[in-house]
Amino acid sequence: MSHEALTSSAPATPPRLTFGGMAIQTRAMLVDAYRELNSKKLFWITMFLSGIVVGAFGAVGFDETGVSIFWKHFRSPFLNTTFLPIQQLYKNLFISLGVQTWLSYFGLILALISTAPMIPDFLSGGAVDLFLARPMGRLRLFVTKYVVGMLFVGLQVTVFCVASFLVLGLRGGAWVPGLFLAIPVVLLIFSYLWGVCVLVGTLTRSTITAILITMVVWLMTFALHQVEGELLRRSIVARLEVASLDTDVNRIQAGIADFQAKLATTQPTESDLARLKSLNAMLNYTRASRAAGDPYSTWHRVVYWVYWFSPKTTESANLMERWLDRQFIPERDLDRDHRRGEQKNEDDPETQIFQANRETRRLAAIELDKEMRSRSVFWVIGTSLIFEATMLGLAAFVFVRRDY
Amino acid sequence: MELAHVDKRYGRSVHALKDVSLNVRRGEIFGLLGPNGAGKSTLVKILMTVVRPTRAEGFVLGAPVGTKSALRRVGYLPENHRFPRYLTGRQALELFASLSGTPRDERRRRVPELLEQVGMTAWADQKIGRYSKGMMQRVGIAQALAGDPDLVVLDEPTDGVDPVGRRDIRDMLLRLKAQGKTVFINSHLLSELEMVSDRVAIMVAGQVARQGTIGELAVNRRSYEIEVEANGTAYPFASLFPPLRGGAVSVPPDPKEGVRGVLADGCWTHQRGNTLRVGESEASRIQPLIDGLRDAGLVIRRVQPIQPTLEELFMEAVEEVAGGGHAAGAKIK
Repeated sequence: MSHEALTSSAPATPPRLTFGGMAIQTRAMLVDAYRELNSKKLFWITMFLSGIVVGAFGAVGFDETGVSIFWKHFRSPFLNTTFLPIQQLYKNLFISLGVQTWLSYFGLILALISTAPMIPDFLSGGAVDLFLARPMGRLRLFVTKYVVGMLFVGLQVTVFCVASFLVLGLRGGAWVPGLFLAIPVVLLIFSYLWGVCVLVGTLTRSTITAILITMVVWLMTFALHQVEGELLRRSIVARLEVASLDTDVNRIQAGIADFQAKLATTQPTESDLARLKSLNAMLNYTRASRAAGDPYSTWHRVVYWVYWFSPKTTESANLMERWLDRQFIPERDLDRDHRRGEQKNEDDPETQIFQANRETRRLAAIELDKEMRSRSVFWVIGTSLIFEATMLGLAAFVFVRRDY
Repeated sequence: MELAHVDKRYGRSVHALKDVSLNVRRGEIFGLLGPNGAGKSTLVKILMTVVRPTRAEGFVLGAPVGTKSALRRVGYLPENHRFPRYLTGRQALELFASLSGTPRDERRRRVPELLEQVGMTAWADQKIGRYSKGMMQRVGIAQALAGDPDLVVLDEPTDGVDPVGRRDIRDMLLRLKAQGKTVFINSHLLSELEMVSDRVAIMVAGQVARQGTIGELAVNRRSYEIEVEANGTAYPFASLFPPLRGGAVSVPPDPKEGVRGVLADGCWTHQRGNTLRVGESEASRIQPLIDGLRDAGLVIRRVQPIQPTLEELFMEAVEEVAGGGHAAGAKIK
């Protein structure tokens, strides 16, 4: 039978599914995902634990003198409504306990364990055929499955935020609509990890493997965040030190010259000679430090680019704080803190170096703060989404090309 | 459904389908049969876009093979299907009807009807996890019909179903045919297929070995069976036809299987006890044999024209291909 013969005898091609038809399919998959989650005990356990956290918010009260937990009152110089407005206190409580601890860690772990079987179960023999043999493109099917997989976290966070909003408002009179920012933030964090989970689930069709590898990736991103921050701090300190070490060398040399000139006019005591020896040792040490330069910048660059492409779970979790509080330490405060208790004897070279070191640390802290602030919300989210899109793209490619 | 040059390779070593061509007419029940590993399920999965062909030409309901939009009008029951266990039967039907793009009103009307048709109304609101294999198969067939399809593709529909259920499924298939729907069944239960199929295709080693109505396949394969009264001899016909005496008579591989041979004119014979089967469809050409038997003193009790069963046709096709290089590892069901 030739192709031409087949074509000529072919009836009209059935019409493509309309937008309404696609909406029916999407809604059906959403309802199916809800039913799947609803059938899991872990979904309700997580909901119950969220209720306990929200209950904890309700148990905490603030007044002018301190904080009360249930009926027990504790006096506190900081946790009181005189030091901070009550909205700010509850906001901090919600962010630190609710978002950064419960939702961003424990809640996400439970969510991953609950949702990880979705893709391997979907791809198992006899199940995927039922979905693939529908008037629905494989890519759309996959993306829909990916999106509805986030329903677990979406539902949990929404319920948590609504409950927190009501409890904090009714209990403390702190009506903070900004709490609802936790919904996109936590969904974002989960979506980075969900991307990894879906890719591994698609490749291996194993729930256990998907959970384990996702957890490992999560731990690695946390470690990367810490290592990158520490290398950046050290690199900045080293860079500033290199600049100040030249000054230090000159200062020490000048100090030695002055001291030697002073000794030339008097009979040096043992203490003077020891002092001279100490100054020379300091000069040698400072010169050696200067010669070492900045050993961290190369390592930092390498780690930075790895970190650039990784999902920024910790920084994303901190977005709530950045958006709601903008609690960055102002430069003037740093300046004031670091100048506090400075030595007054500015003629002494050791005192000068000590003060220079303090100055270096102060400038390093300010520069590190500036560097961190220069990483905008778009940078944090954008680079993480690039990672997620890469995971999703790979998983989609495998899903679309595979024979089942 | 018109398929031509359907080819599927898995890597370089496995050639699952070799230039398969099939023609399924509108409104008929078409049976696809073959031994394990013949490529039947691969072919079905290609039709349903579950497997991507290496090459495929042809049309399903007017659309080129692999067109997703055509699947709106196709119902499919996969082999060893696995429904989500957290759904009830009713929810599963609604889900898969929705995925076929069936509007809500139509779903509400069809789902109870289908549950009734497959005898699952009483269990409709129980979780699928509690269903027996046969019940899942019934729900599976119902979901294949949920989108009111024009073409129904069923992969082993009677698998795990009890005899009563099988009869129900057969009746349902005939009802579907009466409604003008086309049914494509992949099954290894030859007797089931024989009862309902208008036409069949026998696949062996990735190729279509036979295709047509059972009558067409049986042409030139009719035979006559001659039964004689026992005379105490193990092989009463052996001395009658010298060609039969070849090695087959002297060393029968299995007495229950009987002895096969070939007559001088090329006609096949099969002797089992007091019965001789001769591969000859013309009554006039049997007469000399009958005369010969009488002359030899044998008493003829019965002479009967025989139409081959589907199983015999199937076995013949399998053996024919096996003789020319059967797929390694393939077993006959």
